[in-house]
Amino acid sequence: MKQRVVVTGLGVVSGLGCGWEAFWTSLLAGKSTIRRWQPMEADNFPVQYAAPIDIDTFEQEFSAVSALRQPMERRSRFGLIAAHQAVIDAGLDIHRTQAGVAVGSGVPERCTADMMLALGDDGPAWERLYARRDKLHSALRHGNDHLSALIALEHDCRGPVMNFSTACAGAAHAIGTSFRMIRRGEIDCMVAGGADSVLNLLTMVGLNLLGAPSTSENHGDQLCRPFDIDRSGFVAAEGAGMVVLESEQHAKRRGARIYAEVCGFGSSLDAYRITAPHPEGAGAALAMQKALTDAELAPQAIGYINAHGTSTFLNDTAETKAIKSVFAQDQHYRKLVVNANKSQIGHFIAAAGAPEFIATALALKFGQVPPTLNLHNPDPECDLDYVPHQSRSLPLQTALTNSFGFGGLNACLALRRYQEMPQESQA
Amino acid sequence: MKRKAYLDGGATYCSAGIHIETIWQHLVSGQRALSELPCPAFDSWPWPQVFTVEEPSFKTLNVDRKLLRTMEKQSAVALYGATLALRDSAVLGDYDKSRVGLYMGLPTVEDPAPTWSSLQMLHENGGRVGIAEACLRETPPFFALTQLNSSACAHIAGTFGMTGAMGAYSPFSDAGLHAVIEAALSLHESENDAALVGGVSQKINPLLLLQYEHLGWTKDPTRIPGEGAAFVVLNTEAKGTHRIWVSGYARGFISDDFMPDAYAHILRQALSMASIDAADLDWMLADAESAGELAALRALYGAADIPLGGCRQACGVLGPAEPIVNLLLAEHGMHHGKRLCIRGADGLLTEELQPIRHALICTRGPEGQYVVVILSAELA
Repeated sequence: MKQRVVVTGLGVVSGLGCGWEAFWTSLLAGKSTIRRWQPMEADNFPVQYAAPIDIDTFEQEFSAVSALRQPMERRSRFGLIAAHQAVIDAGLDIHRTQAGVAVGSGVPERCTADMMLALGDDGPAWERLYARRDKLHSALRHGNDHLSALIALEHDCRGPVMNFSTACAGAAHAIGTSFRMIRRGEIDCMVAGGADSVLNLLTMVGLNLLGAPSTSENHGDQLCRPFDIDRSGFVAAEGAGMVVLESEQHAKRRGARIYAEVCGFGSSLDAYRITAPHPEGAGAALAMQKALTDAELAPQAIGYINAHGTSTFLNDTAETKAIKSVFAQDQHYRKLVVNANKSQIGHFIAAAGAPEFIATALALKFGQVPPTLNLHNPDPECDLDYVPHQSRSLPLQTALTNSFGFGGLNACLALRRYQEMPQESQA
Repeated sequence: MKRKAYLDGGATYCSAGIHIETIWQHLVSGQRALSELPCPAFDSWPWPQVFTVEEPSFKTLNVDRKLLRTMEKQSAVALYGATLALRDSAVLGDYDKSRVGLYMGLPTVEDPAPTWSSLQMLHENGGRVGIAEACLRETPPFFALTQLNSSACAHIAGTFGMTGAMGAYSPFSDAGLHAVIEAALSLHESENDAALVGGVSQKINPLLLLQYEHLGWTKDPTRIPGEGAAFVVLNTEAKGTHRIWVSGYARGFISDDFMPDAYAHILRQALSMASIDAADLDWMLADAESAGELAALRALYGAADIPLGGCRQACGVLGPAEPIVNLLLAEHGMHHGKRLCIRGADGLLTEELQPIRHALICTRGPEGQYVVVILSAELA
């Protein structure tokens, strides 16, 4: 028998603050964390805006997280804190639970100072870097699964520990796979989400060369403008989101608070170009259709979509086309509300799906949809109801949240407002 | 399990060759296709020779030359492995491509950043050029894509057109078996009708030494780094005379290497799913580096001398590709009624004629991720 899967714990580290309450309140209030930013090694870098986190302002609050005492990447620090919050929020004594961990991660962080260790009077040399290895700061010694293993060690998780590499869909894949593992009865409980930080010189140089982040200075801290005609690229961010997913049975047995039910997951490939999404959003549409099928939901059942909404020219039109194709029957797309959290928190890259999943779960729980900021001149090709400027109260039952990765790796999750089923229909 | 996930061919691209039979012969004869380090060697590098493969050219890959600028070696090796696996497979013609999935075990991409040429520029300009300027000038235009390990999936999907459900896991050997499990589940749960499952190794690079040392691997001279890829096609329809399918799996986290009970717990879960006892296992393919794992395997099997084998002696440490090469060895053994086992203290593999009905493939990631897959065969 399929288990119902519910969300019982939330943890977020973003520029909007630490913890889901601060995150949610700020989202609804229309706050943005995007601000002027430069890599510390540069004073005239082409990318001028980002959504960084001042980790020093809150890290000391988490002295109970013993793993934080060791040197690690920024993304791992964010992820450990978010996982700690999620487990505490769930009120879960994880040591008594056969729990697993699933984390979406991106490109390992690189620190310029590390490779500079290779430099000497005769130029760069590998032997010199190796000899100075005790001075390394970055992830050069660790695998990409360092965070998922740290979370497992910190919380004594003995279930499956998985690390996902599906670019900007990584966290959504981690949550979706965790949902499936619980639904099929493989495990009772998973800590799932993502953590990432691309706000370092080397990663941003690479992204800038691809032309992906906005280099415009036209709109200042309103630079992230999903679905707006003046959008000019994504605004990079950093942070983490982690959730505790449990079988309903497990959650109810321990009297846990339930935020929402996860009811479907779909993934797909664009099979198009490495540098661009499918222009008609074919892969994105397929992921949404698969999530609906998996959830046994008709498109008409959906009321809200938390869009990938990157503020890039290609994504926002392709995603709009995809939504319109999936919800074409009776022009249901006209009844949908669609928003883009990235207008407020920037693009968490591999982790993006996690805070957006959390925002979707909270939207269902509280019946409120945060706004899409900076949407002053909608692109004529982007003609859905994107909840511009201000949050909106709506009685929501079901929602989708989209995450689409570089190269056309797509994921979509379906969530439902949690309602206890009568005893007989559970049988 | 509702629909079975049958093995429907596969391929490898390793230093020992592209045919699993060649790898088998290398394992039997003890032959090792070692070569010089494909990057600047330095005194601290502990392995004078490694198992490398040539980077496939755009002609070999049959792709536009420009596309190669968006992939580095391990992505090109993955694409070549996928090409070999799909060469004789009918799945892309048999099914709607939206029902053909892709599941990959991927390493991270270890490249110097700043690039070596940025460092050279800094050195040559003696402080007149800042680090940001050097990086902006000397970083290749598609660096962000080449550093993103999941680009390998995009290249494979873009080349072969599959658009089905997908997943990619990283960065060590456990990732390869997670890919097998998730692909099999996507067939069981009717999400895909077929799936291409692959693993690729890291490309051998001086930066790996920092990671390998941290993991304690440099102390083991037999742990020679290798390069390569391995792919298997899973299909809901059995092809050929022998029906071989993924019959069980289990996975968990074992933080302490010497925890035989923890290993045994996971192994029993997999056996239970496959509805067999440990005594039914005809072959175990493992890296078996952990004393705890070895103890658990012996205890479960009820004998000190267990039918244990693996590909490492002929291929090196292949990361996510390694368990998939082992899976292909198991399939080969099932087809031909033979196995390769370590029987003596010398650790060498001996070929034994033996019908193989059930084979266990297991691996432990260096952080403690333990993953087990069981293959079962209905022999003709």
